[in-house]
Amino acid sequence: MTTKSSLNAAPRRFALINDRIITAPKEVVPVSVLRALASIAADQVLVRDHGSPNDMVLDDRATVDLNDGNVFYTRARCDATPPAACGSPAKLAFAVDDTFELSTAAELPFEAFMALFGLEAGKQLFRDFESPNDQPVAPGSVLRFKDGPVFYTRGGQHHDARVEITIDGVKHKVAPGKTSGADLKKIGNVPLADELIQNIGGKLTPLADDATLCIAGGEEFVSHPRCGASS
Amino acid sequence: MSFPPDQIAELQALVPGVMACREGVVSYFLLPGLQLPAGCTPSKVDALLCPTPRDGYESRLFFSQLVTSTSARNWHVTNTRIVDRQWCAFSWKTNKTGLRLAQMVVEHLCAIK
Repeated sequence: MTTKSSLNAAPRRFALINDRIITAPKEVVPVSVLRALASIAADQVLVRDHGSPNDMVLDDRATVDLNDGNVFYTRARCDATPPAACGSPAKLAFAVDDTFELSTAAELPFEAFMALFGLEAGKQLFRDFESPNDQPVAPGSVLRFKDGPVFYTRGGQHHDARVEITIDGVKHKVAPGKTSGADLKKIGNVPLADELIQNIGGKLTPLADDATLCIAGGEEFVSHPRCGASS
Repeated sequence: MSFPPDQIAELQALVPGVMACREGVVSYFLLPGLQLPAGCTPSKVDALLCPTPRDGYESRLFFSQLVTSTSARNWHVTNTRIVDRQWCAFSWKTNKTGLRLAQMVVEHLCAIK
């Protein structure tokens, strides 16, 4: 069993540079962007950590795929040796609640992953898709690095932090907090062209796609196709 | 005609006092104190949803009195009697079949918002 993506949203990714978590905008990133995000001085080179004497020195003009390894360190440019073949697998960093752990295994069973981070068994683990509909990772799953290395936890034993909202008569469990009209349409499988309306005690309030709403639980929405016309 | 319980529950969330009624073979839903969109006078009226085709319309929403709104509508029905009450209605086609009960109400209300 594997974990599923959340409504096709992109998982959050990061590069670990000198033991600092640097959030990456996407999985394939120019080295120059990582250098800028990590404020790397011009006299330093960025090196991908394979735990090998032949760790890969990255050309400033190259791009890196964080799926191939997201652990880096810097070294004085004058000490850097030309890139050589490196047969060792690159180190992989997973993050939970903004703390990281290293692994050379690209896949970890859920239970091993929880143990790696010292998380109690009752904690719910969510892969971070920056989506209001992040789904908890099920015990027994295999967590694959390439599916996204960033996670967060909620609650303790049997605690579910998500709240329930209703869209078109169907109940959905979502993370509380800010969400947009467009996100709610995705959650409710409402066509983007349809209008979403919030029912606030019988008062119907249209919700624009770019409107932001703070979900607390119990909100009710109705969509309609805007197809009516005077005859 | 019967309607799925989830659709009726959704309608109840919109109008808590909703009541099903019937005249002949036609089913209606009485929506007491239906809140109208901002800008409407009055702000609440009793309404009657006919969720099945009638008078050439896919569905109809009748109102217990004429409503003034920012969007002028053709109130071509001003005094029709259904389930022992007088009703008014403006001409509005939803142009779509398969709408749920709550969607029908919203589709009609959006015509006067």
